[in-house]
Amino acid sequence: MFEFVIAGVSAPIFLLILTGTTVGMVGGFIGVGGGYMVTPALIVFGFPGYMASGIDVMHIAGKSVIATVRHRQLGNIDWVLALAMVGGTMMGVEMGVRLLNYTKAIGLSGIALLTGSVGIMIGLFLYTQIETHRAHKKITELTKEGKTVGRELRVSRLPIFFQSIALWPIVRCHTARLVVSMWVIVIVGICTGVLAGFFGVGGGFIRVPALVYVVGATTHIAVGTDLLEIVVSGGYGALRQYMSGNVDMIAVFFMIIGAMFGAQFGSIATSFVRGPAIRYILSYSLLLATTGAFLRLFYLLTAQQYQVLNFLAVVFTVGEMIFLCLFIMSLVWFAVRHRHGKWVPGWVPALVAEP
Amino acid sequence: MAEASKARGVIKFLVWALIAAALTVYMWVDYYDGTLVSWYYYKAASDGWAVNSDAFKDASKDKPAILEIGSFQKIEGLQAVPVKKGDRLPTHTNGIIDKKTVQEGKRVSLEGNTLKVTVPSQVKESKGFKYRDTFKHKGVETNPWGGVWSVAFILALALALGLMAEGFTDMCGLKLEKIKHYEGVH
Amino acid sequence: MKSLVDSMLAYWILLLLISLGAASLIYTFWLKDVLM
Repeated sequence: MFEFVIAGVSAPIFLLILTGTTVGMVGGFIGVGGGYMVTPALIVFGFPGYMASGIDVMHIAGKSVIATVRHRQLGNIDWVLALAMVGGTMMGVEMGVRLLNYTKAIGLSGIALLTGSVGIMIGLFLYTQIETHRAHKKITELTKEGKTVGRELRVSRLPIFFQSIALWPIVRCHTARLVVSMWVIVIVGICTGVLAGFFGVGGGFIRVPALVYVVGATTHIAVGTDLLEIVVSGGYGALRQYMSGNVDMIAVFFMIIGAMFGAQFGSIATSFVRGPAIRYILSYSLLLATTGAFLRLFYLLTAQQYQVLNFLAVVFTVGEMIFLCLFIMSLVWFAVRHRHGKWVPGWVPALVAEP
Repeated sequence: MAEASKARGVIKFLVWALIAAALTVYMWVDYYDGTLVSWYYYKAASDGWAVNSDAFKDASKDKPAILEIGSFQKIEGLQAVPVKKGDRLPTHTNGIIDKKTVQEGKRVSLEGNTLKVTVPSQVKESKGFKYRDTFKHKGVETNPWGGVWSVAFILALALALGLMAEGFTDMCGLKLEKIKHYEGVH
Repeated sequence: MKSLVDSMLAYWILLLLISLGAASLIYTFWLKDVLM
């Protein structure tokens, strides 16, 4: 146990480092900040609610830098796309936060917000899961026909529609091989920013699907580019949180130590898999986060009478982080086995990269 | 060729590891000499009394904490210093009991030249989980330059750790090439 | 075991049970006393 003077709590360092490692791994792999897992986890460890948010945002800024450095090496960042999006994202987050303050002032409850964020997460989960499952099946069929399938395969036709919008100026993203109107990118940034700012759900797991299904980037490039975005938006958010008195730097430090290992593994793991594998993990994280939010919602709605719901909510919050890490590690392990010609489950070859 | 890149990896790893270690030592020195904490509890954001809320965290209605009011430079235990919005805070302050709370009288009351604290903390809820909310952090304004330093520090430390890790993988001979996003059927 | 793991859904459920089990242990040994 360590005495965190600024936060005013004693918390086990081991759990902070473990949280940093697990969320770093997930974040480096699917391109999210992980705030929806970290903030509840920190509150469970004893940190006050406002400190949990602040520590989380500051740690996300740092963790995203670690992951971005690795993704840059892997060629997963499109700088033009990132630059075009960052302005829209920042504007959107600011608009979202002001909208939130306004709706709170007119009496919108925390329960209504929790319900709204659950609705968005369910919608995203269903679309991502169904599309990824279809892509997975198509890769299996193409492989059986003897065709060489690349890193990415997507069955959604949405990007074709959005890329056909010919509003000047048109942006050419060389790494992502995209030719798209800058307005599409900016409006995607604004919309994802507003959702992030208003519902307090991280930008990452809305922005990565938006980059894949609206702008049309590959999943790997969406992950790397989004992590770069998070460095900017997270850094700005961290500054605001510090000014509001919500950051304990020592707690952030221990989480960054964990992220040092986790984010590295998660980022490198993307080089072992195809795009649909990353989208599967993204959809699972949405499903588990939704379930955790439901449990907390039921606990609140039943006037906190049933302690078993509280226990389940805590176990789910910690368990979802462990689950996602185990799945990512399995995918890498199966990919290595497949490369060496050893047995892997039947659903694996379509998800892992060919040597 | 492989040996040359491994050697470059060793140099890269060592250089960035040293930078990361130096940054870490710098932060811990600033923490233990009180600089980080003093940037935190910097100014009063509202009128009230500056206190160290750890001193009276076990107070209750049966055993209230009596805080002596005075113009102390350092708060030692059960003391309170009257402050106005924008005043620098005395050393060891970690929260403000604001005038409104004292006027309400439910948690703290003013008795002559002392403050009587009966309810030092309340249970609050965030994101569905409960936590203990004390007077700590209430009414304090952090040093904005402390915020800029903190963000710059975390970004610099993370960059050093990221590049250190790149050096590490080069050193171990783990070849990580750019992903070919558009080969084959897609 | 191989036939169990051959199904993606079964593998998913297996990993989830292991994770929730580990989380229950963490709750029992570290968090029960801290939690409000």
